[in-house]
Amino acid sequence: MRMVVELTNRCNLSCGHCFEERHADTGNLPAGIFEKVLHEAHSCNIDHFSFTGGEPTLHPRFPEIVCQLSDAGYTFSMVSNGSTFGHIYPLLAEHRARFSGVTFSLDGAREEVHDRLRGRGSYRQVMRAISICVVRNLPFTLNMVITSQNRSQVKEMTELATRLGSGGVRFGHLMPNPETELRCLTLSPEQRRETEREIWRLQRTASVPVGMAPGYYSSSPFFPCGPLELQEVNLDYRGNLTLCCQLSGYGNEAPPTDVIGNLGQMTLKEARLEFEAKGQTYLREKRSRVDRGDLGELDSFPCLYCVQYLDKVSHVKLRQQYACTIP
Amino acid sequence: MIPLQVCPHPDVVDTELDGQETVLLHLETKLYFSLNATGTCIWLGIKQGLCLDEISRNLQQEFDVDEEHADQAVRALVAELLKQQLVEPRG
Repeated sequence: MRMVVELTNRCNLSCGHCFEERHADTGNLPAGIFEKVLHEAHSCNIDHFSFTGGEPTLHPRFPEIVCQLSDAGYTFSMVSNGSTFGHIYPLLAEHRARFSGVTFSLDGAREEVHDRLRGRGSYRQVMRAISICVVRNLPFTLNMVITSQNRSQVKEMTELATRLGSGGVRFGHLMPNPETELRCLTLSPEQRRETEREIWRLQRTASVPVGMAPGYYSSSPFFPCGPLELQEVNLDYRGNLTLCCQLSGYGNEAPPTDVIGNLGQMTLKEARLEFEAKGQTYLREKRSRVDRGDLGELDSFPCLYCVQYLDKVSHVKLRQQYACTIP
Repeated sequence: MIPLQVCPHPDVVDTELDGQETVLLHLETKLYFSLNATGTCIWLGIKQGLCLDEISRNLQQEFDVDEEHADQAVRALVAELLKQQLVEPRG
């Protein structure tokens, strides 16, 4: 089992598709909570940590966290925008035996597309980081959030991943929010499916692994989902164990409906038991809805089902966001 | 004929590592090119807009090498960088 850890919600970029909480710069995961997690994780069958954020490397104690984790016998990976890689790669090389790889966020196969979403110069920052990985033999993959601006580049992105020596490329749907609505970045359900079909085709033919993050269309209401299958848990920067990394910080409900509990007040084992119980409730309630025939079009996209189930964004607002036409 | 001055190709991303090594990535060809310490010194001179003779003099000072060998090293590397389209004539 792995734990996704949102080390911080600080970020040095302000990407067009990212929701506010992910770069609000309001906090870092307290060191005490992480140390507690390291101490308890083995007994909860957690053996791998995956760092996210914000930009996880901006946590002020990032080097210390890596050392502690490595000393405790865990493996780790991370997602990054690549901007700090020139400074941190020696740390990763030092812990190479425990480091399984970095996933760089690249939202366009071409510089102008990526930079339009993530800021001028950010494409070259990723390329610099990738260069370091190649010469220092650090494994890396690419991740692209699919928007209206880059969905035509799925094939080109796969070719780019191959030519750069990436260990693979993963595509993920964006979570609609006011910013994506304003910029008409969100795809319609049909556009999502069309893009997914191309990705599945590439998965069969590409010479690098091609995949999709959870949230793709599923004809079965009981879709593959790491958290629901108890393969993954998420820890946010406040120390909350939450249902999943995709929904962490998403929406504006208060209190957050996806929080299981804070590890400052409960043990990881207690939180995990609570997590399992909530997962069972979720599945039971979903079965009931399936039996009643009470699922709509957007419910076939798992993360959107959960957004509505957890009441993170109103059903009406979600439908309005998907009604945005793409020029 | 090698031009007297060259500059980095605009499609090249350069990354220095540990002060002793530089890796170049051409964004169009997707080729990586690794420079050792000598190559890094030459590349820095190119970025600074120095002519080949000035770069050679820097090399002689940095690595305690004679003029003939420094000139050869600079010209050989620049020729290869031109061939790989990692640099282009300046001006």
